[in-house]
Amino acid sequence: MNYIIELIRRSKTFFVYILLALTYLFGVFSESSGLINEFMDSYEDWVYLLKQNVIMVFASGITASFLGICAGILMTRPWFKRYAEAFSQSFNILSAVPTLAILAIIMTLTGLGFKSAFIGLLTVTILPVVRNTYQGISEVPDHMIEAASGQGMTERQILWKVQFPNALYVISAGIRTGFALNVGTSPLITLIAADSLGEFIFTGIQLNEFSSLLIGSLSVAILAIGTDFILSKLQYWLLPKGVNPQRFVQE
Amino acid sequence: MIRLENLTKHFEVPGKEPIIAANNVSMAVGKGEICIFLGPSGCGKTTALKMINKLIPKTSGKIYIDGKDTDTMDPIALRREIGYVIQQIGLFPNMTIEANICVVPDLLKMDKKQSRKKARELLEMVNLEPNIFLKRYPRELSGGQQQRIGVIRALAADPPVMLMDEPFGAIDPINREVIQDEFLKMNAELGKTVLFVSHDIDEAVKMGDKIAIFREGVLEQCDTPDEILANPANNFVKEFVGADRALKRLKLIRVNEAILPFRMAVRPDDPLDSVAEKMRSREAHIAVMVGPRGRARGFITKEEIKGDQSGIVSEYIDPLPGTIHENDNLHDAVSQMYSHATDWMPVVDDDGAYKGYITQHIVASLLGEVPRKPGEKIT
Repeated sequence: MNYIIELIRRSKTFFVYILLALTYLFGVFSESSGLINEFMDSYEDWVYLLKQNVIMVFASGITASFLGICAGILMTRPWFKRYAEAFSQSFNILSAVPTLAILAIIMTLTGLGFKSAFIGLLTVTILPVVRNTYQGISEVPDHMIEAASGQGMTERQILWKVQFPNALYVISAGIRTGFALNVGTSPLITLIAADSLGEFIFTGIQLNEFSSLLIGSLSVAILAIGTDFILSKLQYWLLPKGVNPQRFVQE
Repeated sequence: MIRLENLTKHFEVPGKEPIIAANNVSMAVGKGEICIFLGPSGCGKTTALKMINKLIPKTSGKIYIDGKDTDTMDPIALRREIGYVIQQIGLFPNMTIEANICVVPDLLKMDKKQSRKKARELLEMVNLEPNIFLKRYPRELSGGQQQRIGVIRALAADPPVMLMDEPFGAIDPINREVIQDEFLKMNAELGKTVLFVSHDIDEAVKMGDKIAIFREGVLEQCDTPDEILANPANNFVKEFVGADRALKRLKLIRVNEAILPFRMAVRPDDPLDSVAEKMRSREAHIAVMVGPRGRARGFITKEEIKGDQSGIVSEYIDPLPGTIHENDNLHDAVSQMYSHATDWMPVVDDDGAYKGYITQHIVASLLGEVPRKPGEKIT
């Protein structure tokens, strides 16, 4: 109790009060509407679906990040430069296609289940990764490249020692965006018969069961916030100090 | 050390005449010399520089480094043997200062321990404390500090040749002076052959053993700073070096080169008649009185001792207008003379001992002598 009082005293904003009030209201509400009972009843399902959802998000997200970085690097290579514009345009067009449509198209190609869902989420995630990788690498200043080649670095050394490390922050921002999109899209894969927290949401909609809907959507929201939190911590600690604006010394 | 033969570069412009950025440039720079490529922007000086380390491919002509034709060398290997400094510095923000300095040694797979030790030595040479700076990132340094790192990075693998593309152009004037002096001092020790692009005539006069003046791809004149200031080859060079070129030459001459051959030192207790005799025989107007440890104390003029010649020097003495150090340049000396409204100035050494004096007349006649060889004294 002392701790909470201290916390409230120290917080300079009104934020904590609001949060406490909301939590309290939410508790009252969930108890009175039977949300908690509902949640306890479907607890086993929830754990299973959450696990499936997390696996799906990370499997597709990590694969997409890897492929996206490769594709982005490829686009900056001199021999590929003249196709790069067309390439990035096609990625832009792809990102304009609604996610649901992408899932539908992929379903017609690879059928129902995990595989289609995986490819669908991968497509969603890869776009910002590719775009940021391409941009991050292209935006490394010319004079830095000139200094690198003037000192006798080969094309490959310039990429790995100079361009890529200096693009890392922009790339990591792309990965974060990609993951956010990925988590946001993941409930939809229920529609093509893959397991995810979407099951709660869609069941809730179809049976007009408010508490089920709420369980699903809140879980996805928390998953999204949690994922981004983890990624932001990774971004903070994994990126080298020299290229990490979050860690620049304040002067 | 470096020889350019008929070096030519045409930049092809689609649908137009090609731009000629270098037109049959031939010149040679000796070992340990600093040669400044000077000219207005767009004159081809940077292009000429970058052709040497093959950052810009040449159209025709030959470049020899240490007698070796660079056509036969691999561009990557060649660049690793040539230090390269650019105006925008181009340190890599992802690496620490230590890693930045050791880029080339690491590329050449030199011993890590050795190269790290070298990095420390180099940092000390430019007055940056290794323990503070080695582990920092470029972002944490000021512009002047960054360019010092840029310069020593080029020196890390101990290349015999350095190319510098307006290295101090982006640094504020006060820092620039300091860093120029540091570099001159450092190179006096290291003896690298340096090609240095600049558009600043004052920098060129200060830094260069040789100046090459370019206009529209043509090498207009390549000679010592003194020669270029004294004898500009044509109107372009004359205009480029400026109307005050005679004054700029003053910076090239040190005070001890202009000192009069006789010291005209007298003691306080010397009798006036012998002093008058001494001055008459040397046609000197002024004699300086020195104290027991050789320091200049005051002066006496011919006019003052004209009539009465009995008595001793100390009775007729005037206070000195000021002194000038023997290693200062004539520019400073003349400036001091003007500020003290005098036409002569006694010269002293480090200990303040009187060495002789210079007059405005001798300065003027020095500038009149053309060409003047460096180190030459007046007789």
